[in-house]
Amino acid sequence: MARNRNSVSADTVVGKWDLSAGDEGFDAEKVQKREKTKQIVKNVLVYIFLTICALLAFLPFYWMIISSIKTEDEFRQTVPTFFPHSFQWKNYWMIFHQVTTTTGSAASFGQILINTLVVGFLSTFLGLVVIVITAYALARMKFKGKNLLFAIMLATMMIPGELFTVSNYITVAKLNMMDTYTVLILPFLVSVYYIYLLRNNFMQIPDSLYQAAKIDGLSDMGYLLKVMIPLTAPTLISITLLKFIGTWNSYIWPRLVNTEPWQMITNWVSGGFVDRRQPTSPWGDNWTIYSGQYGSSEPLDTLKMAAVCMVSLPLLILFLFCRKYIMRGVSKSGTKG
Amino acid sequence: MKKLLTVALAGCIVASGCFAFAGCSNPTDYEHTIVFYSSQGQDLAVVTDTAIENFQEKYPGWKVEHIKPGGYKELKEKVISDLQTNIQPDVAYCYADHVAQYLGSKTVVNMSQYFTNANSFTYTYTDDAGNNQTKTVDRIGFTQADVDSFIPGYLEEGYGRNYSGIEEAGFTADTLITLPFVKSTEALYYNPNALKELGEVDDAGNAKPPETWKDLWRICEKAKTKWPGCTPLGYDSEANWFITMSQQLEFGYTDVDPAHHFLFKNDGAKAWLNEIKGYFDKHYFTTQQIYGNYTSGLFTKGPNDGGLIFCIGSTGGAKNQSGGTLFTTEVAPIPQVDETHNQCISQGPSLVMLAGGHNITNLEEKQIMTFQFIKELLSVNFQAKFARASGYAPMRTDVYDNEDFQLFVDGKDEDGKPLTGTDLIISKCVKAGSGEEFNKRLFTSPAFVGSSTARDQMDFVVVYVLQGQKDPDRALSDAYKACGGK
Amino acid sequence: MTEDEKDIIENEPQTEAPKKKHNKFTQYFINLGARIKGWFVDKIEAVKDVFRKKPKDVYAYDGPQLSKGEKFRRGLKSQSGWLFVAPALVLMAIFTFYPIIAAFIGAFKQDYVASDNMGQGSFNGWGFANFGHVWTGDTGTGGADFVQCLVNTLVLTFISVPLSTLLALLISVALNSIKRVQKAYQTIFFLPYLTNALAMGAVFATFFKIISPTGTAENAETVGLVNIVLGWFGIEPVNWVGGLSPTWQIGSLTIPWAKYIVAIIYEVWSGLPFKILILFSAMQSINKQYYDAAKVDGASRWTVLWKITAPMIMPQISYLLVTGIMGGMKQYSAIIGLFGPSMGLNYDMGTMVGYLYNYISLGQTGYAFAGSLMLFVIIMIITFINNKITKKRTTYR
Repeated sequence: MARNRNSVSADTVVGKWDLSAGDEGFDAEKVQKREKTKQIVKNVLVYIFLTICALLAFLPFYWMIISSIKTEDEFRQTVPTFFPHSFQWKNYWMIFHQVTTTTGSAASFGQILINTLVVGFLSTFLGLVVIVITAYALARMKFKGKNLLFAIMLATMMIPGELFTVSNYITVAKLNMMDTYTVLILPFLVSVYYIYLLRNNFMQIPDSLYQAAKIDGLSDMGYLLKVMIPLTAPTLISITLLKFIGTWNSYIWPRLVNTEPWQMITNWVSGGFVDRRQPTSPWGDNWTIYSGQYGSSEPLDTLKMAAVCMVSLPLLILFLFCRKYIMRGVSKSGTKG
Repeated sequence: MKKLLTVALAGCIVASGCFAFAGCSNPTDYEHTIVFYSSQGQDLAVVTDTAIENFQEKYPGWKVEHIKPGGYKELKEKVISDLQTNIQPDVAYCYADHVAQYLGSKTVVNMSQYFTNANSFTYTYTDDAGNNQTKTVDRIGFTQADVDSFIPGYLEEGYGRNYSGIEEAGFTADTLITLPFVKSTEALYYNPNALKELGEVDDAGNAKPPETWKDLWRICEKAKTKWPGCTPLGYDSEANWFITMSQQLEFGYTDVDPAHHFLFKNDGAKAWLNEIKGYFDKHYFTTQQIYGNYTSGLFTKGPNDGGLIFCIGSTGGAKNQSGGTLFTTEVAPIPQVDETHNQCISQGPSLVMLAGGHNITNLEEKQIMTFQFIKELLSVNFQAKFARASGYAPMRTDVYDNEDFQLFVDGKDEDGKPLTGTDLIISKCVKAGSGEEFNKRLFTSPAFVGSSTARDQMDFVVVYVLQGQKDPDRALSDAYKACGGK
Repeated sequence: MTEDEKDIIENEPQTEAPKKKHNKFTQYFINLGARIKGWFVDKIEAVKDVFRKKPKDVYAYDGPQLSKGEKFRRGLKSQSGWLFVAPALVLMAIFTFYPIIAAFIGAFKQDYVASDNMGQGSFNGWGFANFGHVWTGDTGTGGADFVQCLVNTLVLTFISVPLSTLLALLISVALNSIKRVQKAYQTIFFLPYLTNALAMGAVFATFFKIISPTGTAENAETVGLVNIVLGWFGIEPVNWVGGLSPTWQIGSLTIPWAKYIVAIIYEVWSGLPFKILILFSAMQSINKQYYDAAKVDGASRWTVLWKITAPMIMPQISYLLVTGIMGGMKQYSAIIGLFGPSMGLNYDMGTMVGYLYNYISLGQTGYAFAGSLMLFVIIMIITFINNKITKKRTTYR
């Protein structure tokens, strides 16, 4: 950005100088003008390219939002409308109604929200504690087998986590952890990736600080709490946000291990868009009236979109507020490459 | 920054509080709680709740936990994963295919030991006041009158002889492994107004549904000329169609004998597939996989808007077939090849008991009480209630003796007023899918490990052929291979 | 890493030929022997090195002689790091290391069904049969086909990752060259990163979906946005995601090309945010002097891009390719969102991870384990090739 500003100002300076030079600069001025036009055209092209890309990137969100408030009739029009003729906010009400009464969810929306928040906070907080102390030990402390341990931990990142699902399922069942929050939190507390991230961050803090702290009589724990954590706060906040987003989006594991009252927001909402109910679960009469002629036992696309909005929009809003930290957290890994 | 961290910390502490609170909630007492898995939706679960209430009232100290993991597929997957860790339910909805897979777990309960058991049984419990009480179950099993009223064809499906590999599970041919719960079949839902417009009427001027496939295709042709934009027939389940036709046209599908489980790779099947491919290319019909949804959605639109005239679907899905203000849905049995080749598939969930979930110590007692709950589910009152809510046919004949139920089947409510809306369709479905004459038409296909695979594959065979991706020969061979054909 | 390299250089002399003269033939074997020995010595030294690095307490001073007890106490204290890593270690032992071992063992239990015998499981002896059955598709369960899943995964990954990296590069360059509303564009491009693959997959499916009783545009209720747009250019509507989606058949392999296109478009879309973020921030951190110098030399924009920008962000590009491929090998949720729980028609859009879940839900634990080990081996091979190609040490997710 700064580079461009510089170059442009240089251009203008040159241009001014040309003008003040008088008549003989006529040709040069023309060249200058052509250059300038070329520059503008180029810039316009760049903006057009970016705008098209941005529109395409944003289109799915726009489509999701407008579809979620369309009527099913309008949604199925041969030529889709880019702006709904009439807003059907009732779709959202239907998602609540459908999930709570028609598909037989045993949990209320409030219960599910509490689940998600509790699990989100706890797994983020406890996970952070584990990550910080482990990263600290790996970055700053010296003990036998440290490098080997770190190498093994990193190696596990290459193994797809899906491999663990079966055995973990059996483990948690044997530990009698089904239908608790524990089962949603414990298996995902340790994130090698974040440990790695934080360790690198800790390593950047100069050794001299540590020695100074030791001389001041600060214990390892004290040094960690008083020096290192405040210094790496941005990374920690990023990790917090990313971990919370991960919890919000978790779907497969909660569905596997917990029954409905203990599941998470995505599970609950997805009742509106992935469940394929057998003919045993017809919609109530209420439904037939509502959906008019599309009396079908599968979720309608407009309802699907309303459900999708309900899982996606809160994250987008969170992003708008915490944009800096989230993007920094995500990009951290890259700059370390 | 500091503020943010403080807030986050405070949030965590509050959350921890909630967590601790949640952790303190009473764990389920599995020794006195019967776990029941079903694939019911909430509208039917409400009906089931009445049976649960009855049971809990009758047998104090016992509770029933009704869990609904999803559709049949999710239910099976849940039970299988439960079996890996011994947290299986005590009683669950099942299809024979599923039970064939559960047999290896050695937890399937032999129901013969309770079925007609005349013994009484006494258990103790602690009442609300904290006193120890005893309660006696007068008779563990069903009475002879009950057994006589069970429709024999339905009952037959639950015996060991229909399964392969029961010896390894410690059962014999006469062991009762499952009990039927409610039954459904496929029915032909049709739009009488459209048929009248096509001139398909009987002497009295009422719409006359096709009785044979030939008839059906003839009407389809007629309809296609009248409404070029319509698709006359919708068939919800490709696999059911294939299996039904394998009975009606007598080409083989599967066999209980392990030596040749899979018979579907034959010329009869190929000929039939080629035939329907021809009709599909003329846009005479659609199926669920092709439409991407249950075809009932098309049916209810009416032919003028490109909808269907006929829809062949489960009687359990009656509620979805309402024509609303456009027309009054009529129900008939599915078409046949001829008088003697008129089989209809018999479906609907049965109940299977699984033992030893959650490592309980009072296994015997719990199984007896579980059986009492099954008795509640199979009682006359409940069967009638459930049929009226769903369109499924009851599994016992004495339900039909009930006056109210008879009225319902005849399309009237308790006061003799005609039923309307979905109730009417349900009543027509129950009527079309039951009765002694009709029961003779029902068939089931044998269950063994791999029979559900064969069923799934039939869906694909039909779609592959219709799509033109594979010819019938290739599609059937591939399906045969996928089944691990022996 | 760099230490390793140093080690190798230091050890090099050991592999040099001895000074004494021999005839050519003997010399050859002596050299060979020395080389082999050197190779081993290298490795042994490397391993020793790991253990040799005695933990040294910074504040342990070589002062007066310590008593035995004190020495032990200090020694123990210097190991207190274990206390810090203990929680993570315990959790990983239960939820990471144990499952890996269990999967290894389970993969060799032939026809292992975990639900049998009251949760004890049943299997037909030990051996490699599971791998054979998984590879040939002879599982008899009608589940997903391993080779099909492998081909799908590889095709999707190796098309979508380079494509999205290239597009990300273009967008980043464009972003880097503008002055106004850069932040706004950046924000919009980042949005897809936050979404749930399952949910957005469902949104994408609606763009492509034909709702029609004929499965084609004929009598269709709607042909979907994409087909309508294509129609403006005179392209016939295609059933992109439904049951009648067009395919090619190569032997027993199905190539659902229409579904591939949909999946690739989704993968590109969802892969862009991370890639743009990384590339853009890398470009921003390039020293401005390079550009100024290029300006003085009168270099064109393209020259600047290819001669300065591209080489400077090469590490990031290779990092993105590696992480992208690793992520691509594990794709699953998006496929479910796009094509439903059965991953297309008869699992023809199945992926490797989808394969695992499919066999887990079928109760065929042995095949699931065998399949996951094969996935692991394939990922290792790709990692290895990657390392060979890029020769640059990068650490990936």
